[in-house]
Amino acid sequence: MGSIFLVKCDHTMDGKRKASLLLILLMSSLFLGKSMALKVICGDTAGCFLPLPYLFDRAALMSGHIHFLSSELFKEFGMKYPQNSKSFYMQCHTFSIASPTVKTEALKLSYKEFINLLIHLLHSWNEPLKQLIKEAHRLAKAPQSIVTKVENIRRRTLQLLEGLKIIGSQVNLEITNNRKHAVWSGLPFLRSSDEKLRQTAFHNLVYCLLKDAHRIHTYLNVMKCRITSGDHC
Amino acid sequence: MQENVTRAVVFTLLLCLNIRLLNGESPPGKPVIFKCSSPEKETFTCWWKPGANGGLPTNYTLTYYKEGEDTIYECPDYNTSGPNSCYFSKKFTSLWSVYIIRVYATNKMGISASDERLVDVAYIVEPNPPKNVTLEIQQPEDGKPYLWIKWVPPTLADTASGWLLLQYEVRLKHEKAVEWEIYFAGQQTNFKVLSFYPGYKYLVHVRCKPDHGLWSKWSEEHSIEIPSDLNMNDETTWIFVAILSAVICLVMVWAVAFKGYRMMTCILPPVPGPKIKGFDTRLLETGKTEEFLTAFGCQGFPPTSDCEDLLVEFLEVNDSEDQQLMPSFSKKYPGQGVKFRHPDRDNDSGHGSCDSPSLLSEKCGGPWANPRTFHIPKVIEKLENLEANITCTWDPLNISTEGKIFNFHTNGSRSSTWPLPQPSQHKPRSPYHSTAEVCKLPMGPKAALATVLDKSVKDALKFSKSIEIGGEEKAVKKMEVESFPAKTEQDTAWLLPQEKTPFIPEKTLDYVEIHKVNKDGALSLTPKQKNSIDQTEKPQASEISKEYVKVVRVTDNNILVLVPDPRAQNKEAPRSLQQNQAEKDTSCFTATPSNCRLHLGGSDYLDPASLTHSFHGQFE
Repeated sequence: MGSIFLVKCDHTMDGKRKASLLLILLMSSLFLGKSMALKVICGDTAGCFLPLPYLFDRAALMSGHIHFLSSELFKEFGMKYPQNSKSFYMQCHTFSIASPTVKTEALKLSYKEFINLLIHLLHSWNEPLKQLIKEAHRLAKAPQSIVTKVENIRRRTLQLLEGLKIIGSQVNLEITNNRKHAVWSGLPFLRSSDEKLRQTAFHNLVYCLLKDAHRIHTYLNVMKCRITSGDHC
Repeated sequence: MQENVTRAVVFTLLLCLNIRLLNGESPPGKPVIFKCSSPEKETFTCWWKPGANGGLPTNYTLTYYKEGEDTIYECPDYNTSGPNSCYFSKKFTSLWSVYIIRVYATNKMGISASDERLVDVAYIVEPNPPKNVTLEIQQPEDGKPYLWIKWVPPTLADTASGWLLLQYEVRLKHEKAVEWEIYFAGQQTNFKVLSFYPGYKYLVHVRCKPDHGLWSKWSEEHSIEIPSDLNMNDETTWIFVAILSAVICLVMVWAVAFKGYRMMTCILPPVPGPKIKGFDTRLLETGKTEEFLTAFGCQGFPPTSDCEDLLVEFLEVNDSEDQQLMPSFSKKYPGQGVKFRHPDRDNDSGHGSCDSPSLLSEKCGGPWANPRTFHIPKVIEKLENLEANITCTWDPLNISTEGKIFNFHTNGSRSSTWPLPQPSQHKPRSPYHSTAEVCKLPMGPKAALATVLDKSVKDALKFSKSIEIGGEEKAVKKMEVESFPAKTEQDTAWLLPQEKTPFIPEKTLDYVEIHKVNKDGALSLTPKQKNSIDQTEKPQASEISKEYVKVVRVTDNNILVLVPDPRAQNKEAPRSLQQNQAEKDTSCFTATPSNCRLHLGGSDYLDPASLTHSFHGQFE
């Protein structure tokens, strides 16, 4: 069922990346257990055939996990710093990135557009996550679990970014130099002297992270299901 | 800004309403938006609960705006989802942006506004239950029957494109059960139930949930009647088989553990190392031969009743649990025999069965703690052990290859062992001196005990040794040897000494080795080589070495009575005894078919071939 996308590795991919990707693929193939004929013939630099469905599978899985961590983080933050006003529902900095918000739009997007979009989103979160970890101590009695979760999320988003870049290079997207990202200007709010404002800023950032994680997860699911093109996705 | 205008309007209206309160009418109560949900992540609906209407017809208005926008919109559809609801179609739904919704209740008296409700469509997804639930009993030919539950995702959910991925859960129970069994089915749209009871009617429900959302309601109830005659035996059959094999394995393990000795002897017959329990070789070494010989002297032949007092024990060459072998011993052996390997003169001499492989645990220095029922293969073990015991006790004992000494070993700690034969029985024949154990040699169909079993053997050599208890005493040990009829199947038997010689009590006891067994079953014993023993420790060696023993007769209980050979007194040295190849009285062991441990010296293993030679027993 489904067709297998065998893509030749880019010559420029270094051995370490190939090895790690192969490991990820093998693990994901065990994990997902799809009944697809998988041919993973990985040689040296000569060329490696990595099936795209598995790459997307793995990416979707990872994004699902990031979303799960984000929702846990949001819940914990809400319990620790309850806010009566919903003022933290401010607009997120990634709002400016044009992305489909309805299904019909999402289904129209091509692989390339999707991957670009995803990389764009993930890049945009590099800096805020870094600052979130750094400035977490400013929060009053910030529990270590919150910081740990953020660190976890950050690590995984970087991994997902790597994976998406590999996928992008496999479909010849030429996105290696794509460093476009939405500018985040919320740092001053994180460092604000006003405790309330600081909490709101943190809360908002956490909420935005949750939203974007859900977005990324949905997009990857759509891409994954498009590739497998089976009855069940 | 638009919102500010709206708020101003409302405020004004409220002011006006205050005037109308005097009429008994009141503005409406505050409505409450109690639920907003989306069935497929593409549309959503909000429901509210109206408050008190204040006695007047009330209108409800829903307004909303999105985060980051100023425009206030009114509900696009009040009807589709029923009364007091607002349905947002695909056109009006966009994900990942927050809707701030509010409902206004309006009547003539005033307006009431509900609280703001913040809605993010991505997190309010509650799908419909799965549809088309079907139940089937499948009976594959090569497996167990199972209940196969199938369903399809709810109509609106678009799982094919991946926009909404659902996970399913199944619950079932039979009619009379109280609790439901709930199974998580993942993302698949079918489920196999393997454990159910035939003859019952089962009820099944299915529900679903998106990755991050709420569970749907349970689907409609579907039921199926399981036929009573369904064959569910696979499992029970296999369980039965498993239990049976486990039991068999346990039995085998037990058998090996406890009877392993016997099995091993069946498989790998050990080199026999006969020993005689109760024979303390130290006695000889320490020179208390007088006592030893006194015992012999008591048994002068023909034995008198005086010697009865010296009767202590029989020599038991056996580790049988049954120590009552004497009385039960039959004149004729049931045909068991001991197979002796001819001793390997080059290898075994002097080492005894301490070094030779023996399956018995109590090799060196230990008493014969575990009498075992003897059967053919074990005899060899016993003999080995016997040899080991003796050898060890004699420690510096180094039995030369040529001189074969018939060794007896008494185990001091095994003082119980043998029941004394009836004095009346033995009186006229040979006074017995007890030994630690009586050697019981098994007789096998293909082996001959190394004991003289010839009925014609009249002479028996009696060794008597007092049992040394504690191992420190140098008491004279008296051993008693019984002879029994030889099994002549393989011409292996120890010949009893042909002649009777009077028992010379004053002769010191010594050890002999079985040299060979002749075809008549005569044992050829040679004195133990004294030169291998530390001479300094045995000052009386030379004296002792000159004495021989020969079988005087065989008692009723097949006890060999061995007497020192007066002719042997003329011998000079132990070494010279080796030259004496004259047929000597053979000592024989009597043993029941079960056990016999005869220490034949380090190299005194007899094999069937060697048993054709006559033994020349020489006791020094």
